[in-house]
Amino acid sequence: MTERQEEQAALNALYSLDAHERQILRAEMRTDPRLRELGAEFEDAVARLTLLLPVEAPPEEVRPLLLKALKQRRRAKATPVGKLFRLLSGPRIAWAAAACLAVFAWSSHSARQRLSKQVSAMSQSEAEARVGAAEAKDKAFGLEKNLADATGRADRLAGEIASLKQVNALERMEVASLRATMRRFEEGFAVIVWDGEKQEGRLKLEKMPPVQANKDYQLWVIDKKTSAPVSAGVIKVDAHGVASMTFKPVEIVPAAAKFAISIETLGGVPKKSADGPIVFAGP
Amino acid sequence: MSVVPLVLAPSAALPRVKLDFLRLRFKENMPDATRSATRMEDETDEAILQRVARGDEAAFATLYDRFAPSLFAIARRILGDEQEAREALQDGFLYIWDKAADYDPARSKAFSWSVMVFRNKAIDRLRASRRRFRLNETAAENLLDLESPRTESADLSLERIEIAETLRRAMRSLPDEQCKCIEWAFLRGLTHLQLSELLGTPLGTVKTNIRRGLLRLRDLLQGGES
Repeated sequence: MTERQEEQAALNALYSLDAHERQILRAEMRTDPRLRELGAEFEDAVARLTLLLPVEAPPEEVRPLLLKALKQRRRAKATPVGKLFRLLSGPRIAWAAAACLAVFAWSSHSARQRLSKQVSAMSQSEAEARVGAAEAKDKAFGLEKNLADATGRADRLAGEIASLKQVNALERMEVASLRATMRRFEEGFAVIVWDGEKQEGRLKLEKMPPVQANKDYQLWVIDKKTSAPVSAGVIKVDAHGVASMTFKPVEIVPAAAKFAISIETLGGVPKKSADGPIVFAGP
Repeated sequence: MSVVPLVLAPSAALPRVKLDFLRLRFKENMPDATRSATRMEDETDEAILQRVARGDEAAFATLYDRFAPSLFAIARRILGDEQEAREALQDGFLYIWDKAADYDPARSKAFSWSVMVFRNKAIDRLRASRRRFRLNETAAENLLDLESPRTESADLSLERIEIAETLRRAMRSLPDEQCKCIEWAFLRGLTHLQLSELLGTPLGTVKTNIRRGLLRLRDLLQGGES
């Protein structure tokens, strides 16, 4: 605690500080219990100076006036309802209040009846709605069951269809084993699975001898009616002489009679040329 | 009828034991309401003020009876006007009634708290009225009763009489300038700035005088050096 704080506490006890100084001191006192204690001690010492004044009998009327003022305050706080009743005790105000009360009671009664009817109607609607909701729930349950059954049946049918399709596809497919037309290619092995409906086939080649760098193997599908070879693409054989590819002829071949593999110029040719030797053919 | 003079007249010729005996006999023959009032009169100022905080009007009346003579005296001195002092007494007690809940018995005596609350209100009233006391009239005035023994001892409790005597000795022991600063600030509601102006003393000196004077008063009241 500083001398300045002691001075401020002493001046505060004598009510000599201005509002701003008092505010600062109070803030300091909040954080300094010793200063707070000193302030209380100073205030006590100052208050006791009163004892050095000759006492003076206060005017006699002050005491009853004070007690009366307290009673009035108590009544003002405690009896707002009493005031209201006193106000209502006037005959005109009482009649007006009675009329207001009657109108209020009548309107309240009417409103209550209206509300009762509305409540009754709403209760009935609610009951009906509950029944409807229960029925709808049952129906929804039935429909859900039907849907589940139908879905199960559809799944089963789809499975059956798939298996039938598979059987059908197998039945549709033709398997052709091609034979080498030259001695040099005799060790080679060429098989084709052909689906005429889908116009699509699968080729498998093994032990094919390599071709020159500027040449490619090319696959041909030969139509039964026209006997014209239709290109089904270039075949790229790896270093081990193996090739496996799915092919589609560039034109529709209504009835494939034969398949052939020739050696053509690099990248293949659109139409079968006379220069390209056929190395495999079949069936 | 009050038993206070019997209880609080220590300087009377009768020995203390006899006084107590008389008081007991007196109480036994009292009606209940009077006995209840007497019980409250036996209570400390602090207990009475706490009752006031709880809205006890009877306690308020008792507090008024105990404190009003001292508070009215201080209002007369500060305001210097009978009518204003009467109004200040009335307003001050209503203020005490309103603020009694703020009283903390651990921090101060009920009498000290009431004096501070009341005095501050009276000074506010003085400052609001913008009246300034005349220095020449007051300079020669002996504001506090530092010389003569009190003639009103019968109206005060023994404890207060003893405190007053201690205070009187303490104030007499203060240097004149300290005593004057405290007296004028206490009874005239002067700020340290006004004191500095009126006494023609530097502000710092006024502050120091007040601080040193109050520290010495505090020490003497707490039983320190005399």
